[in-house]
Amino acid sequence: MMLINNAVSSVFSSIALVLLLLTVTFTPTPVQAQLQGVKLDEPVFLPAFTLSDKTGRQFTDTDLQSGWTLLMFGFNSCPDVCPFTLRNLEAAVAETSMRVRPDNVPKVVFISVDPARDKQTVTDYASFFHPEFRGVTGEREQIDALINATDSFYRFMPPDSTGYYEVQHSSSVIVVGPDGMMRARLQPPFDPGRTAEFLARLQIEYRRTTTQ
Amino acid sequence: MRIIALLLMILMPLASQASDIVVKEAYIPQMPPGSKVFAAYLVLSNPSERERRIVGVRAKEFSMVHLHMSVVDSNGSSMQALTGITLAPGETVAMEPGGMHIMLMSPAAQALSAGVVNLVLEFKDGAALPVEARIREAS
Repeated sequence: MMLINNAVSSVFSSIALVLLLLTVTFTPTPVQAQLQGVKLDEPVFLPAFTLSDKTGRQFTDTDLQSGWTLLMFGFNSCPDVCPFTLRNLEAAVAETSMRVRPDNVPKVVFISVDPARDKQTVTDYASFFHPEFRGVTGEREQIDALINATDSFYRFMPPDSTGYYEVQHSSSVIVVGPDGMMRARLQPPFDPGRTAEFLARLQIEYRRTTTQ
Repeated sequence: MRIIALLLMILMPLASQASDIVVKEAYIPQMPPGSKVFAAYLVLSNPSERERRIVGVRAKEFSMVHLHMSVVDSNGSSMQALTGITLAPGETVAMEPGGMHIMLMSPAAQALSAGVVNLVLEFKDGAALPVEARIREAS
């Protein structure tokens, strides 16, 4: 009797487990969770631009045509949001590399909108968060060309008594496809797993549309 | 030695609750070499039955210390200076990346070499609470 009871309860618990797994697998993701990135209805053309790192190595629009790129605007004297975003991007890229082919792993480029303070530090600043992250800046009109084309913004705040000034800036990260066109934006809080999922899906859709 | 360690274990929690407030997980994420701006994060709890308000933070190795709140939304990211943080009785407030933080600027030479920064939280009633923030990799 005991044995039968055990067998019956084990069958029931197996059924319960299967049901639970089905629920987990097939429950639709809440809308909120999908807002990790926003795919553009139409890709946006990016103009020619030239920025450079501290060694003088250039970063131009042609560099955008060798794979997927994530562009982030910020400034080095940013204590909280910029380091937080760069750390999340590092984790998101690591997650993405488990979902896509090695040549489709996005490259991260941090663009300082504050060249006056960051010209000498921006490259080391970005590579601190990952050795392959590039940090660049440049002439105001070159930065602005990219800012305007990507519908991003920045604003210098008035300096305090010590001369320190804050820079308000866009919080989204620009996703550029291998054709050099802006394809999507990533939105904070850049949850690594969800961001990776968004990027992997975006790449599948990209291949589907570009091979048609 | 063991007795001292034991005494410390008993006394340390009492010391950190000297002003009713309990501070946990105080840390400063490592930043790129040469950085002049840092953020400290911690978790504050007020187990007492009276409201407490933090009105400032001191750190003698930094030229400027501010309580800040990052505001990140679809319009972008910016920082707001906070005039203070109020802790209601029983309330816990987490200062964490992307939100409230203690901004530390222009460290003195060697300020970070010990791996620990001594902060002092200042309360509205004049109380001061020393806090040790560890410099470590961000979680």
